[in-house]
Amino acid sequence: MKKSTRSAVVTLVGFLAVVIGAEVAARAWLPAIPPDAHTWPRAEIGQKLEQIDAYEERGEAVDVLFVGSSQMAASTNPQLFTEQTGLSSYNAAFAGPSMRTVGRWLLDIVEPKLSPDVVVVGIASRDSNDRSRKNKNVHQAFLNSPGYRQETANLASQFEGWLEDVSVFMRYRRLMREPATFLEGTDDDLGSQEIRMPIGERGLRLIEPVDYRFTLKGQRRLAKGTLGNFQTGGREYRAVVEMHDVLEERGVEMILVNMPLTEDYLEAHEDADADMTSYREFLEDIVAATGVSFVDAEEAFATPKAFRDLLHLDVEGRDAFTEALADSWEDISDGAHLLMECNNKRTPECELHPAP
Amino acid sequence: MLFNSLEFAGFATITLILYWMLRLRGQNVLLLIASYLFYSAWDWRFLSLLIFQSLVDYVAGLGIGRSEDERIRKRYLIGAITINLLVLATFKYFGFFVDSAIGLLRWIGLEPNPPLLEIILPIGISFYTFQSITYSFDVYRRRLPPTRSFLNYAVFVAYFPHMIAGPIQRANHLLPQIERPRTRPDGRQVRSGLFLIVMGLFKKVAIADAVAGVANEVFQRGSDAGSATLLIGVVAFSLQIYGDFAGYSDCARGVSRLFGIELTRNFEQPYLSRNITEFWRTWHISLSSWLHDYLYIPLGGNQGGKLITYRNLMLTMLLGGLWHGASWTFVIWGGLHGLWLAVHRALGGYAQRGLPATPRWRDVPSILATFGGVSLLWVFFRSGTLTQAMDYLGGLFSFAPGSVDPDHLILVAFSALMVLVLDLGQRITGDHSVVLRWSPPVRGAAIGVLLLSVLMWSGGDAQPFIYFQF
Repeated sequence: MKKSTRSAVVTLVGFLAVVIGAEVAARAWLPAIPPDAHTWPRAEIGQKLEQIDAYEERGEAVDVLFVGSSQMAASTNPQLFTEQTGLSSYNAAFAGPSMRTVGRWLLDIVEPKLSPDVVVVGIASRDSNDRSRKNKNVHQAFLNSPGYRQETANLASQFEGWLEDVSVFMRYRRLMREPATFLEGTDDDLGSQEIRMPIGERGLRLIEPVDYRFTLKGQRRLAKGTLGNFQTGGREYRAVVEMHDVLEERGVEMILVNMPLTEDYLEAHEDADADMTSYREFLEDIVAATGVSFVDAEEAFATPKAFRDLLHLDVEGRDAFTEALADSWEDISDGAHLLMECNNKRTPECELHPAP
Repeated sequence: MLFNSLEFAGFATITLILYWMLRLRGQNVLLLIASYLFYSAWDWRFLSLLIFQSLVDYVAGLGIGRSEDERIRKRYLIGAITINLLVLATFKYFGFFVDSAIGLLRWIGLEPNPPLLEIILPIGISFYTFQSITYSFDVYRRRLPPTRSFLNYAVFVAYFPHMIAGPIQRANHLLPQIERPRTRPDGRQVRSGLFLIVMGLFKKVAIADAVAGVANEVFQRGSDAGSATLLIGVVAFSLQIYGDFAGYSDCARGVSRLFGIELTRNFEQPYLSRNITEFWRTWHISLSSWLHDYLYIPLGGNQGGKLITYRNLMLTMLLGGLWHGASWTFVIWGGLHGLWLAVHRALGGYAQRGLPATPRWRDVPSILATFGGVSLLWVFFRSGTLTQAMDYLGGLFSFAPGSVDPDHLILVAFSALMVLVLDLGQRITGDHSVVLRWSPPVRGAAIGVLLLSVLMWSGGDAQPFIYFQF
């Protein structure tokens, strides 16, 4: 063997030793992380996408699309909305995302498939926290998921996807970029949630009525996971504005709904007054910048009776919330600013009024 | 089309394959087409401006070369420089001058109401304008004969590996290489070119982009963040801008080497400098030497006594600051560097020309002091406004407690270690491709580490280079 060839071979061996060593170390270091990433970080996304694909294949129109986090998923009944308004609707919201993830899900995947006339985006303070690690991890898990890559595939992302499928080092490299957080372990956010939701027609979450249940653990989890280190603006702000602007370019109207919350949720904020003031300014800035129609339902329910937990409406609260949107549907357009108010009955009723 | 994108990899590879199939004239035609395509990928609207400026300097060069009458030669030179600077002033500084004039008028109690005029900054304009000026100057000074070929001149201005963010090439260095037939690079040159690209990508992706998130977050938070976090933010930005710009320069040199054209070095381990004069001899060398040769020396350099020297230093650095951007933060940044250089000189400070010596243990305090001072001044460079800069520095020196994000600390410490190891290796050997000198298995392992680091930090949207905005 010539000297130059031998030198090249030995160099290659050194190179491969490092590459293989890194892969072996990643596999040994990451025993808690399941070796095979699921198609989507949450099974609910895949379940809804199957329904959405079926709509697309049938060429069935969807007039109104609901998107957001689990609040919107649990708090809006698209079947009832369609009955009330005669408009076809679909609830594409799922658990976990903040605005930046909702934006990618809506603009890259759902809107092109369903071509709605109107998109209703549900938002709460948790969705606006630009410094939330959980929001960031969920976003990265979403973008890294094989499902997102397949849906938005170009040659480069397909190659990257292949690399991530065969290499643990590659798959989890984004998480390693936050070494301290990574070493602490954030299994919840790593894309291992294969819990299938009971989901009915039009993306309705099928839930049984339950009494309001407050748990300190749930509140702490919310405080630590998404509301801690609270700061609005930045990526979350840009995501909402981008959603509005891109939808407008595509001829789709957007409505922003500030979702109903409980007092217990607000207490999960480190400094509720300061954080919520910042959040309301965040909303005002968005409305001013985009002229989006806005429904404020944050204080619609005076007591937690209509909720099943800190931030998700129960069946009756959900239906009351949906009916209020449906009843005033004609009024929610052209930059309208409406306020939702509900009574305190066991089966609540809600109405929308022009905001003062 | 960023160097750290697959699009650029494909574009450069195809161009390179075609390039080595052609003879000199065909190669230059291809380079011009590729360069204009590359520029158009950023913003095709300004291609006409680039061609116009190329024509102006080409014609001026011919005019200067054709005449022996000093007055005519000078007229051509002044004409070319004036047009170049007018274009630069219009596109880069118009808004700045108008805003500053409005601010001044408001300060004296007037309420001007000028029409709103948004002018877009053509990418790379500061770099290719300065490069064009070197040509006219060098032809005027008879350091270089004017080129007869517009094709060659247009390639000199638009040569894509370096046109967006330098290194700013002297006409007498680059133009002869474009005019002469190139020899196909041998195996050693190909290896070193590829290694420079890998090293550049490592600096950009695994150092600059790795700490960019830290710097962005801390600068966004401002003085609320606590002194320790603000200190980490400053160091993060120092590492980011170095990795970003040195990474770009390495990639530019590496790509160009594969085309058989050598570009000058732009950095020589600047954060190992023992004083501010040494820093400016090793940081953005192509700009600092341009400012030295085409501004400081024509102003009189150090030939007119101490006060004149200090004035010249201040003026040079003020204009150097303004070159970076149309904002008072850049002017202040340049001015403070000028002041520091003048003070260093007044105190008898000296930095030898050429590559600085390998640092010794006793140099550590002065290296740390220089790095600290340079880093503090980066606050002006990074901040959007003077208020933001002062708020940041106020927070930094308030010594207010605050929690430190352990991720930030680890990322900045790791990146600093990487910079130190790479720069020390380069300084000791005097070789930017030092890894290629190592024994084959160690060399292979080092390349593996560099590439794995690039892969670890790649994915998602490629981050643009900071100096593209200038």
